[in-house]
Amino acid sequence: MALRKFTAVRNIAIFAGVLAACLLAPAVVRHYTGKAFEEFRAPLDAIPSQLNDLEKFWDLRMNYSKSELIEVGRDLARLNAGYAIKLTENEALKSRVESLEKILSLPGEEKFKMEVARVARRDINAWWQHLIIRKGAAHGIREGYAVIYGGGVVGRVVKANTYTSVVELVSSRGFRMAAHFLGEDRPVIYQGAGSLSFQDARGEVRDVPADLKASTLKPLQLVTSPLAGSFPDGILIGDVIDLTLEPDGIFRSGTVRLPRTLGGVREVAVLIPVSDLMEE
Amino acid sequence: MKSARYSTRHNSRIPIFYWIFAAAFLALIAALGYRQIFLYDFYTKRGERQSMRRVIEPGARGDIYDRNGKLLVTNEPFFTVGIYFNEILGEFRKEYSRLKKIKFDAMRAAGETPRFKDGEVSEMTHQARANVLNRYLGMINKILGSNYEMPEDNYNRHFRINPLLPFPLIRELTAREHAILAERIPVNSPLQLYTDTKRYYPYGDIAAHVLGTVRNSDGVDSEGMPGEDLRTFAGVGKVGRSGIERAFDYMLSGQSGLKIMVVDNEGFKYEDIMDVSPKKGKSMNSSLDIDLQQVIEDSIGNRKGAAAVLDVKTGEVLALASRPSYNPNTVYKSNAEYAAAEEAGAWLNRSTQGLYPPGSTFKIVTAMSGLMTGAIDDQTVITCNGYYKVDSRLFPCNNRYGHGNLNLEGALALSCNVFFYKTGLDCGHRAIAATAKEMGLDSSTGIEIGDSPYTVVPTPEYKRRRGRGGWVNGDTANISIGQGDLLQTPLQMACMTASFARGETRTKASIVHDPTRVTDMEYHGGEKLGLTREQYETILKGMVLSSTDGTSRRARIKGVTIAAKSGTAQVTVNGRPLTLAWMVAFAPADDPKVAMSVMIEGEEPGDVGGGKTAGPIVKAAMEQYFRK
Repeated sequence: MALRKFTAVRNIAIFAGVLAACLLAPAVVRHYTGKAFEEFRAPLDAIPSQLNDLEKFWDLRMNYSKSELIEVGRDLARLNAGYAIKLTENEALKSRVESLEKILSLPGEEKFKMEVARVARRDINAWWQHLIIRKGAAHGIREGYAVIYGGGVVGRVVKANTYTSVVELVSSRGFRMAAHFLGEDRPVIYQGAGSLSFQDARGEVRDVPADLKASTLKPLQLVTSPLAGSFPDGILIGDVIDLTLEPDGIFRSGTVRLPRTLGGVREVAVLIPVSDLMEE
Repeated sequence: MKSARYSTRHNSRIPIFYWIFAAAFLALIAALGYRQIFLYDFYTKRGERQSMRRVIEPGARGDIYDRNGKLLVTNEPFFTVGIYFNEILGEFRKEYSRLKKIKFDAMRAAGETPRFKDGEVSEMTHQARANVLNRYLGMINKILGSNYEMPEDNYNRHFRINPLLPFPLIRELTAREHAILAERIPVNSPLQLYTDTKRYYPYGDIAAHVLGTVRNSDGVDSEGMPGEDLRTFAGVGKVGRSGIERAFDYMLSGQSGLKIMVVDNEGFKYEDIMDVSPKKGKSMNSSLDIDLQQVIEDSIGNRKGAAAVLDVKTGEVLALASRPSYNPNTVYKSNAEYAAAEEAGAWLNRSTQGLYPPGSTFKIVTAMSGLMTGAIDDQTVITCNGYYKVDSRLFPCNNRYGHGNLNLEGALALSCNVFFYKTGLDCGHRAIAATAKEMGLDSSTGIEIGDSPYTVVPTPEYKRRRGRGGWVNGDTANISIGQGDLLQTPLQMACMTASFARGETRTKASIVHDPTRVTDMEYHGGEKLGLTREQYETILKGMVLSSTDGTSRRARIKGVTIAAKSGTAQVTVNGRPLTLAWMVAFAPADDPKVAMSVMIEGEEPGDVGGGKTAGPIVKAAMEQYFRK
């Protein structure tokens, strides 16, 4: 009886001690404990994605014949060979541009390096508009870096763990950036507007000069602005089909239709500023 | 075995817990019922207050145009980063506690009793606010790589008056700064980017005094708007501070708009439940001709002076210049520019508020008075020897060698003082004062932007009131040539000239362009001049002669006959004798359309003269007017 009582009291004391330690621990200790926990937990986000890849691999092995797979592999090899040639051409052009820049004493055009990453998880609902990608600080990714894909802007890195990163999507209400319309250089402000149930993701554009108009027949393409320095110029954000004049009579505002492919994005590229790479 | 027995045995203490739990649940159910039924209204309102916000947006001000539709004042957008005080109240309190702890610890260490002295609480509160705001500003500076400093100590006033409105930390951000902050400041941060508008004056310092300026209003009129009990955010409106902006504030001010919205738990808008858009204020068409205004101000240049140009028939002010001027786009932003404007005396609108003796331009009134009283007629000839003896004092003429024999026409053309000393003394000071008052020289011109109520047409009563003794003949001689205590504004003299040009006694000046206005004698509020046709013609010929061969000849232009009268007045400023150059004119002399007055202040004794200084300005203005 006495032993049981002692055990119960001891358990309560341990629990109270841990609780007190959590509450009273210095902020630095709590911060690093939290970070360590995040890092420890981070692979859990990546593992399902990797299992998914494995599942697809076995799916191919089980459902397709060897000859079919070989045929697809050949096609892929041909495509890769084509891309390799293109890459070589690009490299040649790039070095030519660099040499011309040197001759003309122009500042270098290349401001970003791309780090391609695979999407591990998607948290897209009315509250959260996040992606988790399978690359992190170990690959040079830091918070605030821009993330793009073939269809345009994906978002911005809001958290960089060692091997994974959290990307806030362009449709998130917390995402705001400078932009401009294609063929226009006057800056406007874009902000995500979330996504309603059964509807595409959308955003809002404001501070649009009053002389700009958009319609379904003549939509305006909203693209990134290089003004803030985190995005290169001209990457598609979305289309604007209607701009309403604000009561001040100076600006218009409107809704931005984001690309539908944004919801199913699998591979993204994180833009790492060259200046940051040079610092490192 | 022991434990099994223990577990199955009835324990009489257990029902006590049942009863305790039952009572607790009953209390919960009762409390729930009480809140659901009796406190329904209270919680409904509280819920509305927590989940609804009211935003009042002031309407944009209307634009101001000149009579030809040229834009003189409009609104220009700019971006500001501001901070919501209500979002950082906790930080203020925390910082205050920190400062208080440091102070009390120091007092304890020094062996003193820790307590505040008078005023220290308020001082520490201000310091805490400054520290927190500086932290946020430091954060912005770090993001931008800039070195902005806190706006002057107006955050305490803002905290007191507008705690719900954002306090501007950095105004007029560049496009790059705006873009960077838009990306780097979290959307739900107490720091927020917002667009504001400022008044923009495309012509800079031209017509600055007439157009006026605006200031931020202390609040936005929300009377009668729904949702008074909701948490309200109101933008900062603008009210006219001076000039047209002030006089027509009722018209230019926009109508405030209102939004009542439901917000989610993060404070984001969920949906609008009421949206009344603000309305831009009405535009105002001023009577100014900005091209003419510009020509006149350019002609005055860096000198101190003023000019007024009127449409003779309607009294509409075509130009109202006052130099030195200030650039309303920049003067309130730069301490150096503000101080320079202050130093130069640029705030004074010399055309409507500057009081000056009109000098010889007043001889038109003396001539009218002399003719109306019969003291002179068109045949009267007076000999000028270069001076005139009044009692025991010699009053000089502008030509010290004398003009010889002159009639009224010649006296006006050559601006002979002796002729007008004698005329004034013959008709008497009361007759001159009566004529001046008939011409409206002692009352307001009626211009909407206001003019000086202190113009003076001196009388013996006035002189006595000022403690300057009784009226003597020398006073009459002085006012006969527009000197002495006579004080007029340039606009007043332009109105007098326009009235004379129409053959009437009054001209009601207006800064509003209204092509539909009926401008007869009744509108202007005067009557026909008490002169015969011949008498009027005599004065007119004298003025025309002045512009062709007399003292006003520098004002003559090709193809148009101008009637003009120059004047050079003497004043004493801070013990220094200075001169004022005047000229009044109207044209064409046979069918008057435009009337004007020009006054330039001298800086050294005798450095300016009516003909040589004011004449070229009249010429430039007339050429511009008739070029159209």
